[in-house]
Amino acid sequence: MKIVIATRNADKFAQIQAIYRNVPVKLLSLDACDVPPLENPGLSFVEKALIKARHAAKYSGLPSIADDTGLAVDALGGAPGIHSSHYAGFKAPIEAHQQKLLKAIASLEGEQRAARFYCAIAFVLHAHDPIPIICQAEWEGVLLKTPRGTGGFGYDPLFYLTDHQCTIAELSDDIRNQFSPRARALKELATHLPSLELVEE
Amino acid sequence: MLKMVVATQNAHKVSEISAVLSGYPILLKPLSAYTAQAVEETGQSFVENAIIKARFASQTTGLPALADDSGLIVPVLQDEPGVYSARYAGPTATDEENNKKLLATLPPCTTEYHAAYFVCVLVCVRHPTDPLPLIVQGLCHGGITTSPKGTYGFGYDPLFWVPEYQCTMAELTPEMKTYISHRAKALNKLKDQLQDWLLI
Repeated sequence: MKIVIATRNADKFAQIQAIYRNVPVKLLSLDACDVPPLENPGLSFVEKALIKARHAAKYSGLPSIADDTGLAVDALGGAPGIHSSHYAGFKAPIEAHQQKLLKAIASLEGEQRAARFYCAIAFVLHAHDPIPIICQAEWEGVLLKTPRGTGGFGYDPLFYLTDHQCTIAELSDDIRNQFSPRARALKELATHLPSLELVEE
Repeated sequence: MLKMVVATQNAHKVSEISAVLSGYPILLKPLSAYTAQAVEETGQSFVENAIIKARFASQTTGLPALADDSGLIVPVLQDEPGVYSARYAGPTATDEENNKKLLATLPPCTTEYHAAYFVCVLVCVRHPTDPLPLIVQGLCHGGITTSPKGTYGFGYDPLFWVPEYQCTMAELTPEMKTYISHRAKALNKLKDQLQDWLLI
């Protein structure tokens, strides 16, 4: 089965390919399928993932997988949420997003700084698929006051994982790609794909 | 006790959901107790519509909200009636009119019946912009018979053939229906996940 991955981010595409290396599907990029850009009005991760997946399926004529990922801070009612990648502005550097976040929670301590790193994956067989498969996963943690570690991207250096006793940016690529919410959501999706009876042997 | 609004004007649905969630310290209130307004269901499919309804109910009441969206999918009809199940024969159509239209629209059948399935999607949000809605789905597989049978249930139940029991959904007692229906399956999944999710 050919599946289009609804992302223009090469790193994300490579990550998904790595996670699916043993799954008998052929993954294609949006650009390989001439899918036009999308104005994305979704309210949250799962809505955005669904919109992206349907859009990619509509223009490619193929089943598609889309993800939407971001940081949700409990004390901020889920912000920056779907605005994670442009919290301080669309052209702002990563440091500006981090600084804006640190400022927003500056008065909070300890458990009040709880946050979730969240990923929603949507799979549709075709643009109007009435029963999309939705897989969601999250990492729970607390936000530090200063960044730590050099791996990952975005808010990773601020996000301290209680389970792993380090920030996401301090994890090895291997561990990150194995346990990240995106990896876990994708692995869950892979378990549903065979039941579609469309996977080419 | 946690108050939660159910995004429906249908009191029967609230009691059905309350029965499944009876072990939890949750008090379910129908949206109709707060407003007669309904939100336009503009989603492409069940899950999108359920999310729209849940967010609307939460926004209107300031409470956590639960919404369901369900319908019948007939693959040979390109997945119709789908999200239009309740209004298949028109915006004010009765169950009987919808059933008639379904039978009239189906092509002749060369097998025992045309395959079909019911879908129920339940969505919970803790607040109107909740980034992590709880989403569960239940399916019930079967087929469409050639003439309505049975008096229980509602909607397409009299036409929906349940292979395991060799009868239509409308011939199953409400109690039997709670073992196999799409809504019951979704509700049971919700029951398993709700507590963890609310503790977040």
